Amino acid sequence: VPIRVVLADDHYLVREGVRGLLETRPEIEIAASCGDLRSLLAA
Amino acid sequence: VRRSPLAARRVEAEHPDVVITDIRMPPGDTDEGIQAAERLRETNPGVGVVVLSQYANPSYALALFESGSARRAYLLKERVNDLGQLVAAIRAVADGGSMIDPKVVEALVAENARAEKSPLNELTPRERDVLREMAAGKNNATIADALFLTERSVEKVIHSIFLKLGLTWETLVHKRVTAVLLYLAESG
Repeated sequence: VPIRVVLADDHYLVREGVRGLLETRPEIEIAASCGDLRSLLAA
Repeated sequence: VRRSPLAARRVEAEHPDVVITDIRMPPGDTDEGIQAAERLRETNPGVGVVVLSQYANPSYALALFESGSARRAYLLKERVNDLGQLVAAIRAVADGGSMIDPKVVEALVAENARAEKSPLNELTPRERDVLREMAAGKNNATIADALFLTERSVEKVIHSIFLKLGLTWETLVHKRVTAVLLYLAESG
């Protein structure tokens, strides 16, 4: 079972770069991404 | 910043095993990644957090570990290109462990070397090397490889570190974390 990961970074290029790197690894699954604290956490 | 309604409340919606977060994000552009880790410790204690930071200053890493080191990793952004290290950090926090960027650990060791009263000064250079590797989240086999020791020797050195730091018998994992925390606290 892959490790489910949520990515949070306000820099689009960094976020997509990290996503691109991690998507080459079968043991990691990027479930979602966002760019600020409020989007990351439940209110 | 582009924001879609679907991006809202990622953690609640996705039930991830691990969150990888920038240390600085809106709204404050200060230490939102550490705030997120603190909040998740209460709301979603099973979720691991890897904080990516541009700060090698140990005070940020210490802030992250203040509410416990389990399931927390602090990596410098320059490390992100090293996919192996990033994946190791993700695996470590998913397994309940922790990891600290080697550069931050170096800074902590340098600070600690200037403090005189620390019980860490009782440690031999080899014991100090092993503790530094432990603080970087490595397991015994990996430490043995890195320091050209047998795994059995690493176990003996760790036992000696625990004795010198006055740690009594608990579970091995717990003691390991305590040694690393003591190491971090003394240098703070």
